[in-house]
Amino acid sequence: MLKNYIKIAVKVLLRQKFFTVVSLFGISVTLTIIFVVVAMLDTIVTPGGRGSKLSRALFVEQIALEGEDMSIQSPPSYTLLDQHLRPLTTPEMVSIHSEPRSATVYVGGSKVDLDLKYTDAEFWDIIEMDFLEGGPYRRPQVDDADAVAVISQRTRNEVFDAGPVVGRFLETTLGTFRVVGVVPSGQMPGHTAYADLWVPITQSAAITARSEVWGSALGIVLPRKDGDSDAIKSEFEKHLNQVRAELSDKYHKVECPLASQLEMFAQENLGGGEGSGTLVIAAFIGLTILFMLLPAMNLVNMTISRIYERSSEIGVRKAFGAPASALVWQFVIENVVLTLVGGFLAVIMSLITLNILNASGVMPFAHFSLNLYVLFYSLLICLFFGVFSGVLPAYRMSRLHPVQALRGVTA
Amino acid sequence: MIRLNDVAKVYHTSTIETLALRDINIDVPKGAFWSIMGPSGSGKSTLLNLMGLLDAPSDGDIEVGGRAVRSLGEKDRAQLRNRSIGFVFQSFHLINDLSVVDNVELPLLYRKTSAGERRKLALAALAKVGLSTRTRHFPTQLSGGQCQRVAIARAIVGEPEIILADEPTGNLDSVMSDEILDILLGLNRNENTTIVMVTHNQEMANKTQRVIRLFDGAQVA
Repeated sequence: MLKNYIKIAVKVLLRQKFFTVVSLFGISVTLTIIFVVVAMLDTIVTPGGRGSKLSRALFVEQIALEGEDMSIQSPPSYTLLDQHLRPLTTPEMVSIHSEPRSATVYVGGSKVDLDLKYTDAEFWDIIEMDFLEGGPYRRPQVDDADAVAVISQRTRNEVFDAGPVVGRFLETTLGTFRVVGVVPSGQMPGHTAYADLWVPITQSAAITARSEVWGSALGIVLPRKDGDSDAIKSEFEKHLNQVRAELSDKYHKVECPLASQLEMFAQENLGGGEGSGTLVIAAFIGLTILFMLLPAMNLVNMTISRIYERSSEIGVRKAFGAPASALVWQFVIENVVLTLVGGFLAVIMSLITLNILNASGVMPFAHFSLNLYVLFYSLLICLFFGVFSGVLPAYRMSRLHPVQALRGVTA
Repeated sequence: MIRLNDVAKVYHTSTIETLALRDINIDVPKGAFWSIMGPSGSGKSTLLNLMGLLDAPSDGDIEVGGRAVRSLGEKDRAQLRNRSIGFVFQSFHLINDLSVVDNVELPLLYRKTSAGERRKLALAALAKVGLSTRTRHFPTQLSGGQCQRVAIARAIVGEPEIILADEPTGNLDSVMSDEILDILLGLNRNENTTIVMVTHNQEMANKTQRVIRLFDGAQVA
């Protein structure tokens, strides 16, 4: 039965070429846009990929202070994070690093601008990057403020000649560093990790010696397991209360949120507070459905005319004993076949689009890809689209009177 | 086999009411081959549609194979059509997207029959109408007579007790018409299939056991 339905679906779609091309165009373009957006969001909210340490990490990127006559919004200082984030006992690990700074290198008379990030040794354990050459600097080197650096593949290609670079020196406007490792450029796990070269945070006294609570440091907290976030947040909150007490004469409000990538994305884009991560997901699903409504209505319309063109077939099937449910199934399957073909085209178009995005370097820290997770949801979206646009026309058609259907009367 | 008691059919539109059939009393016995004749608009096709459970009467009762139809829901009617009745239409009504053998298999799709069994029965039905060599063709590649033979194969594949044929030779020349009538006569004689055929052709009607004549919706003979 199913084979028969699929067979006739393919034949009908091949015969009605104009309908098929127009429908496939609508479906595949819509789905491509959704796939690309989902892939980009997935890369942003799960840096490092699903299952990675970074994907379950929490981040501290901002401190907000409000006083009588001033208010400050800024990244926190190294001192604050070192004294109040690093001592936390609930997480598995804490890392402190800086926002990227501009460093310039002169290569044979031409100028190369690089983004330099100061980090601790734990940073490398959390972001889990592969090394093309050498390895990361470790805690003793950070403690000793060694002038060492990990560089990106792009930096290696732009600054050095061919051949191994570990052990060679890189002279920048922020200092001269001995290269200890090279990481691939194509797979930076999110904007948190992104830079062109990374050096021990102890190399910058301006960062480590700052006494204010605000500065230019960022924190990453790695929970032992996924459900630990709340415990970590409340432990950090206790530390913050200490800070609040110390600063109470100057600021009546001190907020320093510890949040997942999804929550930060939500706060940046929706200005939401607690629980805004779920809100983002709900909003995204809502927008997706709205966005799909237009091509779906178009498909419904075209499906109705396609089905009514075949009223004689409906009449014959009814005459020979097809129950209405069997006819509904038949036409829904036709639409699902159509949308799955559209989905397949959309996957190909999305791969091409993502490759173009990756190659263009619009977001140098991100490498977008259609992973299995995205593909699974894409398949669900396709099925939803197919069933949604098929059920209404199929139901209307299945109610046709057999005598009228045989005569070709559809109204 | 098919019994109609005081059957009437009225079509309503927003402005007028048309009496298509009235006071029809017919009892087609098992194994009979009857024909229905009458001028255009006299209600022949309406009568056949009522016998085939494709339409419901406005008044009166219909029994098919001893079962009163009035009490049956849409699903049961569909099942009764599937099991007991085969249709042959004037314009064949084959599905052009399906091959000849797939067209013939159609009634079996709505029964619990395996794909292999369906194929076997369809090929046997095609052999009965002399089309074993055309099973992979598509309807558009066949002549009118061949199309009608495919339609007959489709009507008999499920071995129904009744075949209802609505002007089965209306679109065919005389040679092809004779071929089709011979097939129907053979089915009636050899398999004891009950056949009711609407026709305009007196010569063909003469070959059947009884002729029901309609005029203006009423049975006149």
